[in-house]
Amino acid sequence: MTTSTRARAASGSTRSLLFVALLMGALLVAFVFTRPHASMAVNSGSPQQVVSDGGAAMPAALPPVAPVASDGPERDASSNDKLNAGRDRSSGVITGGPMTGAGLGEKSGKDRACPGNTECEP
Amino acid sequence: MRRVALRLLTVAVAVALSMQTSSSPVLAAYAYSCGTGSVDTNWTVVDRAKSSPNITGVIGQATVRTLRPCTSPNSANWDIPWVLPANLQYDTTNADRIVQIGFAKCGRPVADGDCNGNIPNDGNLHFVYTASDSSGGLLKLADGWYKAPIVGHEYRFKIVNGTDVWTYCIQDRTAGEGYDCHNTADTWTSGTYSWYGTETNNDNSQNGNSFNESELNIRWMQYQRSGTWYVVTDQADCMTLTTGVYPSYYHCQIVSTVDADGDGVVNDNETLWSHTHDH
Repeated sequence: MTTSTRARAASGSTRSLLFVALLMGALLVAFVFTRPHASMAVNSGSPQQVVSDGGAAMPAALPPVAPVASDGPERDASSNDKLNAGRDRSSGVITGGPMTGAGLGEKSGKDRACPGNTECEP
Repeated sequence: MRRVALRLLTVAVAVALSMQTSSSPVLAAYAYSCGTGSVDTNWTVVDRAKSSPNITGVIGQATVRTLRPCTSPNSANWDIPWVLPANLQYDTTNADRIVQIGFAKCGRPVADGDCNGNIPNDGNLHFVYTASDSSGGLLKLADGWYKAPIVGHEYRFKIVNGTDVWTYCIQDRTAGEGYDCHNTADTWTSGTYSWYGTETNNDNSQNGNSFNESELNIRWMQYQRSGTWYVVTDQADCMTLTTGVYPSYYHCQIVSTVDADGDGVVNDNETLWSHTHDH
């Protein structure tokens, strides 16, 4: 093998390695930027996700569900001091309530009165 | 050299595709061991309404789904997931004063006895209610006055204050039945907060039993004030409350398809959609 042949071979190897490196880099970038975020994926769940688990409550015949809001605000222990009293597992008791903390009951809404002083029906 | 490059490229594509597929978030597929889960309280909630204690009734409606408490429980670490479509509490300072109704599945070790004194760990769902309005949410078995839950049936749950009593009612909507009710003595007559939601007490419990059953819907959320029933309307969001670390495995969303009040906003008769993420 002549010097020029070796040089061409070396140059070809360098190009191949560069090609592979660029491809892998592109794949990595594509993976990072196209990977769905957890909450995005769930929030963007198709109506089928909602419909499929609603049984009679959310039949497939319903029109596409319009999400009014995405996942609700996450509140950690610092902003919600949900009582853990009464949650002594060794005693065999886990209570269902009550809730306490900031934010409770502060939601506002234009609630709709049910007609005739009776509960609302479909 | 090109052959090597081609092989490397093939491997890179395979790895990337594998990562892309396996890391896509999914709803929870199954519950995990209690011992590896944090003993957190996880809620998904819609709540009403901050005012003087004048709410005298609460209604919520849900289709019964199989629940999955965390697995391999021990005496110190077990769970009973709650689905509580109707809750009314007096305020946030008198912690004992709350009335609740819904369904649950006990995950306490069988050898240790029943959950909350009388909810058996028999692998079955059970309707539960607060037999005392001053027990701090000590939910008890409703088997004595109502039938066993049927998975897939939609039930309406109601608690309303009457003359010296709280009246707890369950109605099987799917079967087209009327209410069956049960009275307990009251020690208070109206509350400040009505709320509607789900609860687990271990991160590794699940609201559902399989991948496509990891979510629950609660709808027709109502409360009674001054004799009138109101349905929760035009509320934009729900709350995910957790005593554990962020992010919670539990998420919620408000969905609705109804514009009953004609304001052009399609969020009347709201549905609280609660779902569990896979870990």
